[in-house]
Amino acid sequence: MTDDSHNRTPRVLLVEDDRDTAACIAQSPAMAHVALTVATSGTHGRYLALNETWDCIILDRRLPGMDGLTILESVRAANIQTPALFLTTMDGISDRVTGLKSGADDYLVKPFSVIELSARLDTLLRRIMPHHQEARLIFADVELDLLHREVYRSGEKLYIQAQELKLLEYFMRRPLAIVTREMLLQAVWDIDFPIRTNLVETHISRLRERLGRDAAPLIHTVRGQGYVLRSS
Amino acid sequence: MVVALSGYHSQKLLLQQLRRTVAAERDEACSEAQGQDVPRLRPVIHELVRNEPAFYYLLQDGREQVVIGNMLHLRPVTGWRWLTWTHRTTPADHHPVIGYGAVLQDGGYFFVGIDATPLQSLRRDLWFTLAWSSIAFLLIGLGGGFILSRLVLGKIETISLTAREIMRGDMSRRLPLNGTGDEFDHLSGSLNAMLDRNEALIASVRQVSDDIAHDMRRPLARLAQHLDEATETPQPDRRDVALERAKGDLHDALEIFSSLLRLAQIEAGDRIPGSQTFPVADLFETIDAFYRAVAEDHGQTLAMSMPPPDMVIEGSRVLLVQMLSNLVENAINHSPSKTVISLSATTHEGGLAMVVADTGPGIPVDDRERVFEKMVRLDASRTVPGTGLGLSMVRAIVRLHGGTIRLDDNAPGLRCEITLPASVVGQT
Repeated sequence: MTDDSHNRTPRVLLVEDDRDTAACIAQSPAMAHVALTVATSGTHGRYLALNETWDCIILDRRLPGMDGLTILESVRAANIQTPALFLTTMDGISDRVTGLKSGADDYLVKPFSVIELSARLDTLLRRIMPHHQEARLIFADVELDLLHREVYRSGEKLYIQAQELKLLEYFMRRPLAIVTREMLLQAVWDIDFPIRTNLVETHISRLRERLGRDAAPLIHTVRGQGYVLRSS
Repeated sequence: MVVALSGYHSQKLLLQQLRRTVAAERDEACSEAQGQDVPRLRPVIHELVRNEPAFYYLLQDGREQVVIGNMLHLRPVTGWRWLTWTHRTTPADHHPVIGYGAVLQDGGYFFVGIDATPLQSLRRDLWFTLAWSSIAFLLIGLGGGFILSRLVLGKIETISLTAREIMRGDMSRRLPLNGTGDEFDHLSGSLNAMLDRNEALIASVRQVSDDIAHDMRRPLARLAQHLDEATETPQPDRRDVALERAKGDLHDALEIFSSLLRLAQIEAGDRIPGSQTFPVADLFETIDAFYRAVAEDHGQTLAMSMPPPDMVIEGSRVLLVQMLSNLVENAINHSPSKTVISLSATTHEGGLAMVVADTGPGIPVDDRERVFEKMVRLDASRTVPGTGLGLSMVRAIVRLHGGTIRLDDNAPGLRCEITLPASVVGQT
């Protein structure tokens, strides 16, 4: 990705055969910040994916002509590393594994809310630098040392538990992006089953406390959507 | 085939022997006559006809007139000949003659023959045996084949009839086994096993569709109600509340839907997805990381007896985490503050026993089996959020791993013991 990628509108390819779903996604205000191109058949989708440059590809698993998995496989075979997100109704555990193994960066099980899709899309679009090269993440006055698994705020070391650190890392890799409860459960706790406790809320509130009760709040609740890391 | 071959062989031997005898007799006659012409042979043959009754002689001159012998006129053809009894002059019986005739130097013809009855009867016996044995074999073959096919077809017909009955909807029908352990028993056994599996799968599919039809009704009805409320109310803020609730109802409905599907997948599966071997302590640490803070927020204590690091388990990590999560969440949600929720694991008869216990209100004895059924929610817990699928899921996961689960009184509280067989305890 080039340096000007921050300034221009990200180009996103959506391969989805259901026109209603595609229209719903395309017209949603949550997707207003991206230039969305819709392909309604697998073969057309593959053609666009291989012959044009995209910032992210959203693929339905079941498509007429060619299924999403095959499209992604040919995209990856052509050495195109564009982030890809699967939309899938296949709720089986093994289906998710095959999706991710074939080179998808994320998956979303249908039915989903456009807000959830938008949030996941944003985190994929923010993947400008590969993670493993970073030694530390910095946001505002918070510094996360990835090598020693330590957190500093205004230069002062904070005592933070492993799980909370994982949560903080997830936020710090996606500053200013809305992160949903489902994304956190999936990424931080590896939970893909419904839970009945306020697990996320509890750990968010612990993390807020660790970051300093009196300091400026960084993790904000976005009502009805999720959480976001931003200063003030 | 063997009869034909050996018969052919013995008749050939006999024929050779007869020919040798004839040739010897002829040679003897010729040497005695000291030449091979009619005048010299004539006295010799004359003697022979009188003294050798077993042989037949014929001597003809160049004009094909019988000179001497005990046979009638023959065309002078050189070579071995097979003649009927009618060629003999004194036929007391119907014996045929086999013999050798040759044209002499002076144009005469000399034939020496012998009674061919042994060869004829041998040949006749041979054909007789062959014909009868063929007929017998044919009959045995036909009869045996008929009986065998009746037996086989009868069994196939039984299978076919049973299959038809099953097609007509009687899913519980099975093929009868005759207990002989033959191929048909094996076939019936395999088909029965397949039918068992199919029946279980159909039952589970039926169960899922019933469950979905039944359990989606409530949240969908509530959704409709809240949407009605939203469209009818004139106040914007009340409309927003109603819409927010409708969204919640939809979320509930979808959650029930996906939980039922997942539950059905686990119940129908016979192999564990993504099975791996890992320490039990890993599971406990995961649960601790998930729920310690949550329990503390509820004023409860999560007490972990960490199993030793060499205690390992083989199974689906994702599902086992879900299993323990559901149990711990139940304990957290259904118990008041100051409750102690404890987790422990011990080796048990080569297998593994995991116990999740709490000091909460517990479950009455009568309800302890019922709570595992889908969508069963006890009256005491109506106010706690949930779909009533949690314990069904727990039991399905335990069963998938070949284990059992039982609920007991923890005096006070609930004690849930999961026993997993030795096969699930991996090797370190």
